[in-house]
Amino acid sequence: MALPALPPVLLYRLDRLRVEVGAWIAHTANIGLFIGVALLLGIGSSWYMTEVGTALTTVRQGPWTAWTNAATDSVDPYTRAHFARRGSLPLSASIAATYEARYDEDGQRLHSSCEYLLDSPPLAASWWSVAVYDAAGLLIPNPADRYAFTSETYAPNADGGFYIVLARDARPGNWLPVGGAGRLNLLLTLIEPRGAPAPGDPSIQVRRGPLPAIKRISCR
Amino acid sequence: MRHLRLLLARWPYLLAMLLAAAIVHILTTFLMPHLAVGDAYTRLSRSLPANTFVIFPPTRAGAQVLPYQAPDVRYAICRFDTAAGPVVVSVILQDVGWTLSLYSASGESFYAVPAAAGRTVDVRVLVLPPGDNFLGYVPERREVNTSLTQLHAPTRAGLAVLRAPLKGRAFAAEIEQGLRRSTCRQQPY
Repeated sequence: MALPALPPVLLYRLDRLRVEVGAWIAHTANIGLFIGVALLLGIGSSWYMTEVGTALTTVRQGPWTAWTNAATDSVDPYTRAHFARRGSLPLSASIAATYEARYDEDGQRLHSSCEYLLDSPPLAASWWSVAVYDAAGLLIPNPADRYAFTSETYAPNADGGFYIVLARDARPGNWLPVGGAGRLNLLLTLIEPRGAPAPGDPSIQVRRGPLPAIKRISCR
Repeated sequence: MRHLRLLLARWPYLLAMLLAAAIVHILTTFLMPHLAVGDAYTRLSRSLPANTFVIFPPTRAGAQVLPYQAPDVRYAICRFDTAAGPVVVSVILQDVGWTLSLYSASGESFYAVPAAAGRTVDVRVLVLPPGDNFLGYVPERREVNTSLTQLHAPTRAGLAVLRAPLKGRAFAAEIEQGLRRSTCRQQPY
């Protein structure tokens, strides 16, 4: 059965309505795209600069990264946001350099399923410590309550340098247990670091002395 | 090529998008410290009395007060509050590795001093409220001891953190004693 033909006026109005709805959808999609991309770019870039850091706010040396204005009176907004999100209380970069490592020498994420060797020359600082945490900055439970080595508690090599092994099972020498932690973060603190200042910047936080190498030995 | 031309034709739209992204970036970065409920001062201020040093036990797994808290260091922390008057922080840095840091409530360290090798360092700091440069605080008027290092805190309240590295059980009592010597007292108007 054939449908009755619609009057031309109604057809015209329906066509207009279709065009107007289409234009409204296109306009709304444009605004949505605009807002979505602006939010993504804005929040994403802010997250990157406060979480990972850039050359403006951090110094990188091998796998180690230090926030150059951490807890100083000239702290920049990215560094302030970084430590506020993290909830930690860093030592001021005016008296100490605090380096963090999340990756090994090959750029692989540090993980408790692997075994690592920290191979360090003598560290140039009045006091130093190497501590291991899980990805949330929490200490890794172990029966020995061993979480760190310092310049006063480590077993040195003949040249004053040291090896520290990060492993699940006990190892001779300087051993830090990491069993069951998942992703690992290492924190190296140097109080009053000594070394050559970076050109043009005599502040303590960019003095570059030698730092430990983080070598992956094996993974399970 | 066609897509590039299409994009170039819409450059005002793209420029506006980048400007909006920049505004979002700046707002996010500046608001983050204020929106972070788990920042160090907020976490510690809940449990610390005002103007008294609290000595924390050695840090262990499962008993951390803050993330990334050093496990090889003993902490004594004073939440200072200058609302009712300046606060005098007095500590002795007795060995290498000891440090005193004063933090504002927003997390910036406005004073930090490490120990010196081979000698103890006696540190006495008068923490003044922010903004009061003259009225009532000049030494002549208030009889403030001028041998004190005087500092204006950026915020009314903050934290004084004394860190003492652990050196093994043989030194535990000596370190504890050193921490107990530290004081944080309000000096009334």
